[in-house]
Amino acid sequence: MVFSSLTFLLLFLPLTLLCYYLARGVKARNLVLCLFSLVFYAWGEPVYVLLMLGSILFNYCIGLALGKTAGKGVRRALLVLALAVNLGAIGLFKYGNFVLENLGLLFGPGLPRLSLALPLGISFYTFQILSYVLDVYHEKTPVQSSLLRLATYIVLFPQLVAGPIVRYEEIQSQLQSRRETLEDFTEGLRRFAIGLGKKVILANAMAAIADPILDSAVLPPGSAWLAAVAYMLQIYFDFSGYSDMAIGMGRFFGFRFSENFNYPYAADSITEFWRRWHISLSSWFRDYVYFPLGGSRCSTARNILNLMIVWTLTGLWHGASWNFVLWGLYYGVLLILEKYVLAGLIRRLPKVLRRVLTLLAVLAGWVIFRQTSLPAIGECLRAMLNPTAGGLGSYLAANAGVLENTIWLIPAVIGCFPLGKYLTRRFSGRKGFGLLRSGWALLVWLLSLSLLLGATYNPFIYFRF
Amino acid sequence: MRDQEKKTGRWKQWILIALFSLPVLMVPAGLLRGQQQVSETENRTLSQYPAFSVSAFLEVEVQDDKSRVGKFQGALEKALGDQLLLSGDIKEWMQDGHLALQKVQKQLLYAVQPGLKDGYTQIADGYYHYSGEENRIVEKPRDYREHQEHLDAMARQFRSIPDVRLCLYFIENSRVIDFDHPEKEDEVLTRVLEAFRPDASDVFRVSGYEAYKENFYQTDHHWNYKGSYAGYQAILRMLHPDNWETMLAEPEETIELPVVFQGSYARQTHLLCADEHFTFQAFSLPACRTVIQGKKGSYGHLSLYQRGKYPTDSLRNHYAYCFGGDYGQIEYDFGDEGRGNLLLVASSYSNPINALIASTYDHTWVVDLRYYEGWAGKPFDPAAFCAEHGIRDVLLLGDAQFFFVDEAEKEAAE
Repeated sequence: MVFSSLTFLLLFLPLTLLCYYLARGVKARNLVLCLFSLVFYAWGEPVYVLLMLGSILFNYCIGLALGKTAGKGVRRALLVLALAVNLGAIGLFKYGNFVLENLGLLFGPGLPRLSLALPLGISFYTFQILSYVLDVYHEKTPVQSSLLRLATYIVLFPQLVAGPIVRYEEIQSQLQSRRETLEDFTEGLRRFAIGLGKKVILANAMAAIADPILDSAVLPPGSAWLAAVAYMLQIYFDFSGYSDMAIGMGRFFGFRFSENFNYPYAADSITEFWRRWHISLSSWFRDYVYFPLGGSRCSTARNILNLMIVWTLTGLWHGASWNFVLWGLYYGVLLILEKYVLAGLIRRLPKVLRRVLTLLAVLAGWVIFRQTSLPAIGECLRAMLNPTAGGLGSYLAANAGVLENTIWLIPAVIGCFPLGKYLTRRFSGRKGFGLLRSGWALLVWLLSLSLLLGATYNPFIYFRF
Repeated sequence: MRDQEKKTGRWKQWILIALFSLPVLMVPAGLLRGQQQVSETENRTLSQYPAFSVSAFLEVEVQDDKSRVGKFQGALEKALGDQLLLSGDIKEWMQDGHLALQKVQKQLLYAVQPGLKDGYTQIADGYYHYSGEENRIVEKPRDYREHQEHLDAMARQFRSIPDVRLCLYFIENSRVIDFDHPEKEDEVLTRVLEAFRPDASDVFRVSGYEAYKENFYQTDHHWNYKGSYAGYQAILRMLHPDNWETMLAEPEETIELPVVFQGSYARQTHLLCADEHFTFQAFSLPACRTVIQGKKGSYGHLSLYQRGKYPTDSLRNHYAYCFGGDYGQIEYDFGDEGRGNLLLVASSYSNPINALIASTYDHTWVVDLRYYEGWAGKPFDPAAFCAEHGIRDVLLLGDAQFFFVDEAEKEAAE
């Protein structure tokens, strides 16, 4: 089930809230959340709910065993077992065919292919589970003795399929006791509506521009920049919209999740970009991979190696395809250059120029991310370097669906920068500002629902949302 | 004072929650109203709420967007989209909004780039408006080369029929003519003629967009009454070169009904944009016996339309209902007067002129290759058919779809 579906918005979520608030006590409420989360998970791929249950049980037992064992060797063996099973599962389901495909290239065809569908959110929940196991192993956090609480943490539907990657230590105490308030609930509603609007109004409109262009056999002349910028906006609003919805829903149930995005396109360096983009993932890799490898407290050569390992893994985390590896390596190289070669030069540049250069580098990165083959990446980047090629007007005139959605570029670009944050800070004490905020969220909620309904009007969805 | 403020604040929050909850009430309200069956605006039957079953919940289906979802879950999502209270109205508002936005954007674009010409505008997958005319839907020429082997196989069958005159009438339409370059040679026709090498042939020429508009429906792939009559004349000239003028049936009257005809393109794209009235011509023909797929009966409902007793529902396919639908085989018997027998192999383009052509022969068999095997239980064998029925003339009548694609699609389906 996706958040931007009518089933979720008009049936599942209201029903969950109703049952949640009818239940008394944190235990009963955790049970409601856990059960509804399992239904949420089973909605798309029912059989994988068994995999999820198995994973919960396994990691619960590992946690208990770690808590009861003092021997270093046994603890290490338990950790290796947990890593092997959890990473093995993601390896099999997500990377199995990728490995076989590449082995086939090396050793000739004939290797079998796995007919396995990707379990929903496996990349997210595996990292959440690993954060629990690793923190228990390093004794940063106590063992969770309640199976229900651990299960609720792992399957909690607001952040199950698209993050943010909530670390166990972040919500450990909230699983035990939390307070739901009316203020939290209405704040959650506003946040949820804005997130839904980001996804349904802006991200979908940007997809309606980017997809027809980037999926065409030959890029229409003059359209590469439009498509790349639209995709850049699409991925931001899609992902940050989901995070906003997750954070908003968390507040419905009394949880506080950390922010996952902080206006990344306003960053003035690649390093800063990654402090603002998918914060929960980059901090996860920092704390669980980069630091254990030695981080930056080592020789330059070792640090470079560490960065390249982390960024290759970050690329692979996003998908089982070489373009994701390339995308990760691209950022690895950029960060190394920024840290060791260009640091002085960048500092001397005006801030506006630094921001523009960062945006251009990020934009090129999204082309690598979006286009799955090397020739397609090359074609798009070449077309962007040759902006004199005309023809965009004719293309837009001939593609009403693409043309129609270009109007949304304006609010999308504005929405990338912290104007809303500034306005909130500036006017938050003023009379009527709260009403304006609520009215805005309500408008976005109604428009998003109308667009979702409107999308069922016509099967040729990509031509009009 | 502070308590009062707090109280007001709480009330505001409750009002906000209530306002956010309003759309949720559209679900039970839609159920209380009762499930709707058909949407006339969307021109389709509406999805109904599915009954829950464990097997339907567990059976995973791949959706149009490649996501995987259980059968029950997918059906529920579709039903919600169709059955919510006010969903039809909201969809209509959104659709109007989209179209208005497109129009404004286009005007802005033309203001910025005055040199732009209004050519093809894609409105759905494979369907276009041309020249900014939003009440007409057309297709674009396709590359039919991938289906060449199907054309060749079909041509071999018909070329090998002994002792018949093979005639071919090719209909140009928006599937072969590029309205931006109508002067370009019709390569598709050349390939058809090279493959069949008929004894006689002719073509329904479309010299450009204006000619197309004159002869084809606004939102249907078929030719209109003007186009089909012009085609009929040309076909008669080809079949009976010596005395076609004496055989030609003149229309007694042209009847325009006060009913808007939304054709196949409108139905497929769900864009009901036509504003033309359904128009047909009435002819006086000698009495004949018709046998449809082995059963005696009348073909089409032309006489009902002539008497003004036609259906008026917006979902009606008037072309098929008035002139007759598509069948594997239709037999016309106009009596034995020594005029010979005709095998007319065609797609639905022939429906309005079947009887007109058949009236110039003793017996005519109209075969639609898309449906023949399904009805007869065996593939169509032109040579055997002609021998069995004493066929003198064979007429192949259709557009590029008929000559290239129908056979390929049939094979793919098999």
